[in-house]
Amino acid sequence: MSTPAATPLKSPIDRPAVAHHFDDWQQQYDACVLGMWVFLVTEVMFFGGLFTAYMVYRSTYPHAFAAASQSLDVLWGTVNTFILLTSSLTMALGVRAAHLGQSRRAAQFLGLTMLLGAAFLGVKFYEYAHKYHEGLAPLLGLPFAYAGPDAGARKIFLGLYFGMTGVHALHMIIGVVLLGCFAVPAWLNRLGPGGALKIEIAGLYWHFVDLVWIVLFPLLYLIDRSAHV
Amino acid sequence: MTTDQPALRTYLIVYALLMAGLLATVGIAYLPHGPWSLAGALAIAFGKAALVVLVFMHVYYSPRLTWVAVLAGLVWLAILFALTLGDYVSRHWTPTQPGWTELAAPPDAESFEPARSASDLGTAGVPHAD
Repeated sequence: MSTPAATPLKSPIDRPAVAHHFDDWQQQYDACVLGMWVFLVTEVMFFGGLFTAYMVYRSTYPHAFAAASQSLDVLWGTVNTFILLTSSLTMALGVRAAHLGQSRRAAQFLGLTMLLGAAFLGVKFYEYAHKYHEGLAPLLGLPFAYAGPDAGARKIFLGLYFGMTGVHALHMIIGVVLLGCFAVPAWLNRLGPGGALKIEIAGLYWHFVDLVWIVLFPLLYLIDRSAHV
Repeated sequence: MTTDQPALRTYLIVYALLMAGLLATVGIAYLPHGPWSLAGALAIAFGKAALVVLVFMHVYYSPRLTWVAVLAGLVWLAILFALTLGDYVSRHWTPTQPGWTELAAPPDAESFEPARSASDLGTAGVPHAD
């Protein structure tokens, strides 16, 4: 649309079609990245609300939070952090391949990233199931197995655990689907001109989900471990 | 930047640093540091997040405008945390007015009906208004 038929182009693949409201491709590229960042800042504020709730309750019930944190498995949490950090590396390498014009290589890295994302979700749902069988899932009016003096505060901790990791897992699911939407065209070399930008933007989303987990992991799994060994 | 890509080496170094950060954050959680363990965990998390944002998300290589958007997010987050924590920390610094606690938790919570309008409140809404 933005290139009139009269404009002689060497090849439509050579240069991306610049939308009519941009001067050139660099400006369009920077604008797209900026737009994605503005969206990610709204996501930061969304998770910020959850972190604020966590902050208020943890400062109110520090001991109950430390005790309830021991019911989470550090090993699985560490494994999942490892998986997610590795997926960020494969994502970054996928974006790099896309920028270097290696469409197939980019698709392979995206596929690997999706696989790692799926592995993370698998571990996560295993942990959820384990909590459910232990009776420590304060959801849907399920009975809560722990009945000590600080049961209410422990329930709040596990509620925050399920809420925060649940919303994070939802973002992961969206991320895996999103990467799939770009991996297939990349494999078929059909991303078109300027396709690297699409992968770049999808990568920003994936890295953001990784960022949230980087903060969630110590806050949920690693409270006062030394006092409870 | 659309053309200048960070070298492969850069990504691998960042990944190695992230792994070191992961081991460090798990490691210090088991050391008896008392109140410092939260500060340490948050400092490591912030360092890891900064590496991801600057290198993996290419902010370091981006125009200043992108930096502004990212920093604006941090500033708003800081406002959210600081003002909320300021409220909760300082609540018990001032004495509670007599009657306020009765209003907050009615003696018979079962039969308590919230006021629907200002006129509903009547004298019940004004504590000790003899």
